[in-house]
Amino acid sequence: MKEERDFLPAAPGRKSPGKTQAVRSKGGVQVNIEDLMRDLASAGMGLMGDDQRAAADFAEACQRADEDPREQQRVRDINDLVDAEDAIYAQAVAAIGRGDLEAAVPLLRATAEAGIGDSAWMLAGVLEKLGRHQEALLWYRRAAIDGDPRADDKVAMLRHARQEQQPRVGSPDGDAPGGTDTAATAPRDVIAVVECKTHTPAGESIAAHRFTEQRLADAYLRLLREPWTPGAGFSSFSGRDVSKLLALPPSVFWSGEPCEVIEILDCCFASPDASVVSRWTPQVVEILDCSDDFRVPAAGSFRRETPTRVMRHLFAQSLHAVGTVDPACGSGAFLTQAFQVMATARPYAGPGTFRVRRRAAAREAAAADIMLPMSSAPMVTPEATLDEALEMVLEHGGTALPVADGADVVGVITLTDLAQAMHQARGLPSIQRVETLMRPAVTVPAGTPTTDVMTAAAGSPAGLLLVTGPDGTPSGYLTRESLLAQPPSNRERSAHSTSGLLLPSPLETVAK
Amino acid sequence: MPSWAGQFRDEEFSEFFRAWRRPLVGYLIVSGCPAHEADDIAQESFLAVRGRWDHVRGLDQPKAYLFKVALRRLARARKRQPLEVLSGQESVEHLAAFPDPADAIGVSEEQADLMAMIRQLPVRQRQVFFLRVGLDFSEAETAQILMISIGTVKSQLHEAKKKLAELARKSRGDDTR
Repeated sequence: MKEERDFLPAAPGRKSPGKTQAVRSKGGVQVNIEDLMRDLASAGMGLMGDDQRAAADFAEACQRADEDPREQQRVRDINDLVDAEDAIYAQAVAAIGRGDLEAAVPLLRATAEAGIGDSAWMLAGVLEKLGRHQEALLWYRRAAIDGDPRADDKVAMLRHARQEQQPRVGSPDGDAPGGTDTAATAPRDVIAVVECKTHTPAGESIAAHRFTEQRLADAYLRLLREPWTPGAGFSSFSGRDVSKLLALPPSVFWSGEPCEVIEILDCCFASPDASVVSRWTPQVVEILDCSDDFRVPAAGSFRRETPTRVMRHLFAQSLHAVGTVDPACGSGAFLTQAFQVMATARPYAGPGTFRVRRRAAAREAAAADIMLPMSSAPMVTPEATLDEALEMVLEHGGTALPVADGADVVGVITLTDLAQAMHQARGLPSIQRVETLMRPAVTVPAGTPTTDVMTAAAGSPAGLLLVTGPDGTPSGYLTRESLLAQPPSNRERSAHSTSGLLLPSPLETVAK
Repeated sequence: MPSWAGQFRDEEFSEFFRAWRRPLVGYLIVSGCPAHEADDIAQESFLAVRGRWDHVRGLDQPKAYLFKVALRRLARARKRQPLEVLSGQESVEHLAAFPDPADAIGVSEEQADLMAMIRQLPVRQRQVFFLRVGLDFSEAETAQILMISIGTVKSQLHEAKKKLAELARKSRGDDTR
């Protein structure tokens, strides 16, 4: 009965007419959840074994511990280990305190592995300071998974920094006037660069708007005077805050003459010391005929919401974009996961705030236009161990890696295969080599149109395609993630304006 | 229940075991421990506390020590499982690590709903919420067990409550279909 499943009906003893009341009043819900939690906690989350049995087992274990010296030693070891870990943690904190970062790394690695306190966050910070960004990214990611909100920003920042270092590729010739590395050329006091096409009484123009901290602060002040109720107060600027600003009606954000932003080409946000915090680019996800799902902000109010129907709609759209529903993906899980990321990415602009249009593609892009160069491809050797391969996959944030023997690409190794193999061998040091798990690589010729590339990607279990040149040697590669980040080109568009979403760029890792 | 005081150690420890076994198992599960392993890890943790009973009882901190040891044992047990960092996708990982409420025995429907919601929190928030709200531990105790600052305890609890309220609102809102 659906009605019964409504969350938090009456507390015990409450009569049913009170039900909705309890749910409606905010305080009532809080109390209710907390009471429930207390009951649940004292019931072992309902998942503990039988009491009698556990007590009997424990009595037996106690007896063993008293009689068997080896067991006694084992229990002592458990306690000693806890002490040792505490001591290592204290040493690490002390090492950081006196600025000896190199010494802190191995200590923190041990405690982070043991899941102690903020070790993962601290280790990531130390590694970052030491310039070991890839390792830092791993640990920030771990901290983010543990729920450290600070780590989210850091992950985005480091990902972006790594992208900056690589040459940008795949920008179809000429039709993308913006989208260049605006942050790299920005002066130091500029903390945000928004490149956009605006419509003013004088006509359309494309310009990079540079925002200094002062200018953003002014915008905030203006914003505060507006009858607008932000969800939370702002204390400092982060990429997330700035994108909140961007989601505001442009009249609030853009000073000077009235203008309508019709296309955001690129946004970069940097911290005042010019290390890039994040970049938000319009990921073109078309939103058609679902405007009533959005709570279009009434004048003076702005709320970001992502109703489930919109999510479903976007999902359907994206399946369409790939051109196929791949049975291997089941329900298209990798796509839903891609959009899950979007749902948690708080900054989100609905229509009525501003519109973002897809960049018009002059011609349909071919595989060669959108591929990533082979030279930048992370590769493993067939002789690498699974541990090494897994580490590389995780570092590079994808779901598969090409396996190269010298200059030849001999296959592909996927995260799923790795995970399965390692899960089976859990607890044992793995000596298995990559070559035993490798899958054959799927190749597409450089001239293949994007739509066909997408079909091939959806059909390939590894989700990684090698793009081959005329001579048959791979010149680049494509992943499902990199394809998803491409605007779906050549698709019939509806006549009315399409809206996009500002999403963190690059897309978060998509696990298959 | 027969008194196991003799084997356990003494009446006081036996009382301690009886009072904290269920909460400890709950805590392990909330921390992402598979249900079938939670009882074992709990037992090991109690053995460890028992091995040091005079010491920890003297410090008046037996339960803090118990919960701390349990988390360490869990981390160790999971060390070779790549699951945790595998995907970089919190939600997927959490779902994998957190038992399905449908497996829970003797919980009401509301409690199962709450479990489903707690499932969607990051591990640290779940732990803080469980210790602070579920077990009424003080901020200082929670901070000591998790080895984080009191400020972090506060902020994580706040986040957890906010998220839960939001989820509760959602589950009775448009999304019941």
